[in-house]
Amino acid sequence: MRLLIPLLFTTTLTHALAAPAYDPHQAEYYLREEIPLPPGEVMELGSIALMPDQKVAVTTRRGDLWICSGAYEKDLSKVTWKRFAQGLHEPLGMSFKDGTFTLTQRPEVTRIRDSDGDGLADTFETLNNSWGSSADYHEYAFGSVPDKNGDIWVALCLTGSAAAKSDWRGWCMRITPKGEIIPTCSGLRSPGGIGFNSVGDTFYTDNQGLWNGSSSLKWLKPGSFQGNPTGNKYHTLANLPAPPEPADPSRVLAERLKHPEFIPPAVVLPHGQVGHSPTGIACDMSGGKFGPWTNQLYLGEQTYSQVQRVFLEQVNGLYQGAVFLMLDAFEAGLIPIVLDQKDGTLFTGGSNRGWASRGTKPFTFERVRWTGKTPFEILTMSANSDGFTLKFTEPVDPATAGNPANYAMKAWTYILQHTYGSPEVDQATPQITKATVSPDKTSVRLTITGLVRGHVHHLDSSKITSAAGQPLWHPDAWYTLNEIPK
Amino acid sequence: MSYRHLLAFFSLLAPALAQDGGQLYTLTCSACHGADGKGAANGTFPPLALSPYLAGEPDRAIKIVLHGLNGPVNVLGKTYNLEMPPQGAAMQDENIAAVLTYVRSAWGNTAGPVTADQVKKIRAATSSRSEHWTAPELLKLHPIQEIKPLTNLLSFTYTGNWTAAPDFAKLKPAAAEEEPTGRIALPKIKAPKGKDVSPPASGNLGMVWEGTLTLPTTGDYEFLFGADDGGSILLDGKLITQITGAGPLKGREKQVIIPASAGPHKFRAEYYDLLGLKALQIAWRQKSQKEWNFLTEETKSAAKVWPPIILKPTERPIIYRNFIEKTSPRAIGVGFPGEVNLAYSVDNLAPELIWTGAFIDAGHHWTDRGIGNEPPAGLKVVKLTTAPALDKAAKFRGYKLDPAGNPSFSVQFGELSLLDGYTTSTSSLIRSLKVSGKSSGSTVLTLVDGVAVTATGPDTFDVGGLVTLTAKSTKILDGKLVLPLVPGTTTEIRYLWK
Repeated sequence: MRLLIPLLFTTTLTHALAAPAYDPHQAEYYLREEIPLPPGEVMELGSIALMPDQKVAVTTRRGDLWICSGAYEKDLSKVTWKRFAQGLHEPLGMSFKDGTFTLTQRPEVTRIRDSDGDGLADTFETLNNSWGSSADYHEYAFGSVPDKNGDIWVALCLTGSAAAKSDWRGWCMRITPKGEIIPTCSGLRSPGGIGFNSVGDTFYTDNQGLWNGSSSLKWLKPGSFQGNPTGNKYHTLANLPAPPEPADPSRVLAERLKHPEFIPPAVVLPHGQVGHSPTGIACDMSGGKFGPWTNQLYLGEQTYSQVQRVFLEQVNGLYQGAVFLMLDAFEAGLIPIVLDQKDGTLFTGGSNRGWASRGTKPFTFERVRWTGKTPFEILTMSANSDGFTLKFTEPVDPATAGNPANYAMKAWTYILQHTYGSPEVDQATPQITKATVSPDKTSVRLTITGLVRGHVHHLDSSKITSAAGQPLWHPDAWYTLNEIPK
Repeated sequence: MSYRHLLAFFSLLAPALAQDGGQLYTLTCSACHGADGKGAANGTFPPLALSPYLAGEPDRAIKIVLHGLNGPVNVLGKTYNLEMPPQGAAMQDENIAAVLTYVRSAWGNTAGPVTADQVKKIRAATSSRSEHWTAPELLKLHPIQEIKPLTNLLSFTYTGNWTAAPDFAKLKPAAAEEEPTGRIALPKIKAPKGKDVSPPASGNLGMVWEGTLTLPTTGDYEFLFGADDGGSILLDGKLITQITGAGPLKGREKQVIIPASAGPHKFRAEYYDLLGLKALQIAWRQKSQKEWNFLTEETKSAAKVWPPIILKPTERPIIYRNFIEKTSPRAIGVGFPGEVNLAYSVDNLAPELIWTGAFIDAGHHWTDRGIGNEPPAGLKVVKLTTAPALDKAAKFRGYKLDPAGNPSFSVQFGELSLLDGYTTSTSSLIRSLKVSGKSSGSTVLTLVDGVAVTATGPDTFDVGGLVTLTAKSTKILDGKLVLPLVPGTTTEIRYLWK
């Protein structure tokens, strides 16, 4: 017995060191686990695809495609890995169907399969490679999984993220199953991921920089312009109308009112408050297997090694909504994130080569599962003509949640300009005059004077509690109010 | 109005006026430079702690924050090749001043505070700038006090006529000099005082340098030595590496690893020239560090700034898709067992480069952001073609690997299909061109273009003096070697290195 106490102490200490828990509550709600990687291999993940029989495929920035078995098992020490292909050019987007991988590599969309059944890829069919490549390291190509028509959406980063030195840089293209290419949207800067929402509309994350005051989640409405005119000149390659040339400096709202094809960011991710570098997109259509966030989006975050949560709604034909912080302390900068909709497992992977991250490992592959315990959170935040309605994951305490003084709101926007990023500008302080708790106590209607069209509205709800007396796990919400409902 | 209200009033006017430099640092800078200023990810990113870039007048640092920094930058003996995004548009003068004041006084840095006015002035003076800064550009404007690579450095010059490495112990120097720069340099023909000694026009030059090399820690050190023609490096009187005979610097460099203790060491370098060009390079680094510390003026060397990762095929060919020098951006490198390699250009539908020896050094693209093209790692590189080998309307369809991993590239041109396959045997690459479908008119495939090709026998050609190409049915057209593509045929082409 004399030995036991020091031993126990040592164990606890080791655990504390092993898991740098920024958020002491996360483990109550979500279990984050590292999936062991093949020993000795450098697994800087760029994409993840789910396969039948609970296999998971990943690609690495070095160009390998590996298949993992056992990634769903309780005991992760038994996972096995098999390398299926090598020599790919930095793939950033992958799906698997009917024995074939469809991969977005830097220079092309490729179908890959093993035709002789020896467990190694032998057929690499180039579906389309007709966008430009100038041998610039920054000309990344992020590809989606197939949409409902089978098309792959490819978001093409600018050259060095500031110029357009090869064809279609700064555009989003669709590659059809027949291999045709369709120029779909202009005005992109530096994408970090691409995916769909619950009704199949396409979104991508774009990173702070030239013409992006802050990073954001953007809606790739076909025919739209996303705000950065650097790649505009390529419209002539397909006889398309010239995309808009926004005034510089200006504001997104002013320019998109002048140019209806300019679709504003659906949700701005305020730089420094909600990460630095958004990446992969996963939509929760698991029907509650990952918590109550049905139809919401999860966004990977490279610099902060996090996952954020986004609620979207449509107002006057535009997407807008709120972002909330969610999962923290991943081991490296996240790039791909994929949710298994049947099982509710979120797979994340990443790397911090070339771009630093809070997670200190050079690369990682992880899974996150909901423990079944729901945190007290703002489930949704939707806009009204005179404020916002907050829905909560459990009943609120009417005394705290019904007091408008327990909420604080600030609003601001960013300069739309050709230079790198923007400070927060045009600050406003909307006044919360009333907080009305619903009869079932699961929602609160905030009546607000001074909402500002086009602004990010930050709501701080840290003073309210649940009926059980708990504070919110994440009390901050950032709502991008493109349109104020009538 | 109370003080508190006044503050609230002002913060309404300019709410972004957060002047806590430490907080701003955490928000904006620490992701890359690290909470401890040592560079995030174990120093993958440049440190700010003790960085000479922050010391002295703040102009250099203000400029970097305003407009960013791109390309290689050496900080405290290590080169980083990343991009610092410009913050000038996102941060106001007050914020930049606050964060710079913080970093210039944190982690052992001892530089003075920075005012918003200083930032404002530099912002105005550089307002027309739209590009990032590069380190050489900034250092020209705001030099950093360089730490001498060697201290107490003396040089001895010898002249004479020799046909092999001279024994310096038996020679008398023609000149002895102090070298206050601390850097080893071959004479740009400096005349000692009062004498008009030009380098021997027909004779040979020999040089010896002696000085003190101070090493930072105890551990293993790697030395790089290159000379045209030869010489030796001695540490504490012990020979550590030597180049004998005559020849160019490139390709004859020596790299050795030796253990050494922290602190000062006696350093001696001997150099001799026998004929032709004169060149000398000497550098050291701590083992497993990327960066070489050059002791010589000449630093453009085959020495690489990234740790080499030479891809070596064992049983199966290795594919490497990345940016390969002297071919197009869409290149597929293939390294076969037996040290035969090719780079197929998907843009030009041709094996544009073929070479023997080592395949490729992936360390370049697999370190940091992987900026730039990488040349083949091997020898006898032949650039077979420089332009599209087929009509521009021809399309790349992909490739297949046979069970042994040998690739066949697939090309479609109208109704004509081409399967362009590769295998190897000793010192040769064997290409098989299988043509099927229908040909509209005469279609030719360029095999050699841009390098000298001469017929040396029936169906045999010399290519650039390096390779013998054997193929039937080819012809030379305007200095190019071409193959007419006839549906239903398969043509074998052999490339044999001489």
